[in-house]
Amino acid sequence: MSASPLALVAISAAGAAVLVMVWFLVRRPALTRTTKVALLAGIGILPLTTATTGNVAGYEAMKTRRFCGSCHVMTPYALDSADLASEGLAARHARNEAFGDENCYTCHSDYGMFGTVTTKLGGLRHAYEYTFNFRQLSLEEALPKIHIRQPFPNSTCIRCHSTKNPLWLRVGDHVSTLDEIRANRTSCASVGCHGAAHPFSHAIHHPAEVAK
Amino acid sequence: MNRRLRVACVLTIIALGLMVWSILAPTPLPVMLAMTVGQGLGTLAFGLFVWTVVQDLRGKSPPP
Ligand code: HEC
Ligand code: HEC
Repeated sequence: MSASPLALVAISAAGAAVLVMVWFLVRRPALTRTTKVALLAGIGILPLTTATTGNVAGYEAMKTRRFCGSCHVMTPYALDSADLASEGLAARHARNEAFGDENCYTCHSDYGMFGTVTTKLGGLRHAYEYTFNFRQLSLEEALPKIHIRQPFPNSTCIRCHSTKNPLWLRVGDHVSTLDEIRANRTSCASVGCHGAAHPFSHAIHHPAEVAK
Repeated sequence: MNRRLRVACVLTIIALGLMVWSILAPTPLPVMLAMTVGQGLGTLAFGLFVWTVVQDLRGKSPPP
């Protein structure tokens, strides 16, 4: 539960609106000017306040790893990130204070002009997929079927790891693949480079590699 | 007319309940419900209110 100021505003506005509603339902006043103004507040302004502040609080909540991990098919991902001993790439991005608690969202969101909107639409699709296709599946049945929809773009990594620092540019593998990295032809998160991002799912998706 | 407003009040209460639930328990089901059904019902209720008030004001103005 979040005790943020936003949540308080949202809940207080809702409480005040409900008081107006109950007053109207119980007392059944005539539709005078006063009644109209009260209803304008109770049906219009106060709920709108709850909706907008609640929206912001909702968007914030949806970014957290806890939120992502609350559908059962995502628990292994969340557990791996929470495991301090894990050496998976996602887990190594889960310990910093800046975005560690929101690491899933940080890597798996679109950036660019309409990034927030397209990410939200993608999230809605996830909720739909989960509700109608994955909810009934056990973890063992579901994991092999869960794939990334579009190859993970290097630009997401490059947003934070600029590829322009001298130390970075002194790494042999970075130099030899620089053009390919920037052109997105070689994934930063591929095995042999910095992947797999989620080692356990990689093992499920590519059993042959692991058997080697 | 007042009946319609009472319906709007009940819809608003349901909508607010969904929104508050999503704030207290920000997990997928309540958050999705609040942002779809909750906001939908709230908008509907406000629509009913506006409709009623407009009708009321029209009724009161002298006939042309
Ligand atoms: C460092 C960035 C990073 C973080 C943090 C991260 N991921 Fe990923 N994720 C990736 C990459 C890269 C892939 C693509 C893997 C591939 O192509 O093999 C991926 C793939 C996935 C997939 C597709 C299935 C699969 O396993 O390939 C799911 C589901 C997923 N991530 C969920 C999550 C969840 C849930 C979290 C938070 C606990 C998370 N990710 C955190 C980078 C990240
Ligand atoms: C939102 C910014 C951000 C994004 C996006 C991001 N990183 Fe990082 N990365 C960091 C930070 C911050 C650290 C240091 C984490 C720490 O020390 O806890 C880090 C650490 C690393 C490390 C060193 C890990 C270690 O164990 O020392 C590697 C390798 C790395 N990132 C690769 C990637 C790759 C590959 C991607 C894309 C799949 C990526 N990063 C995406 C911010 C980011």
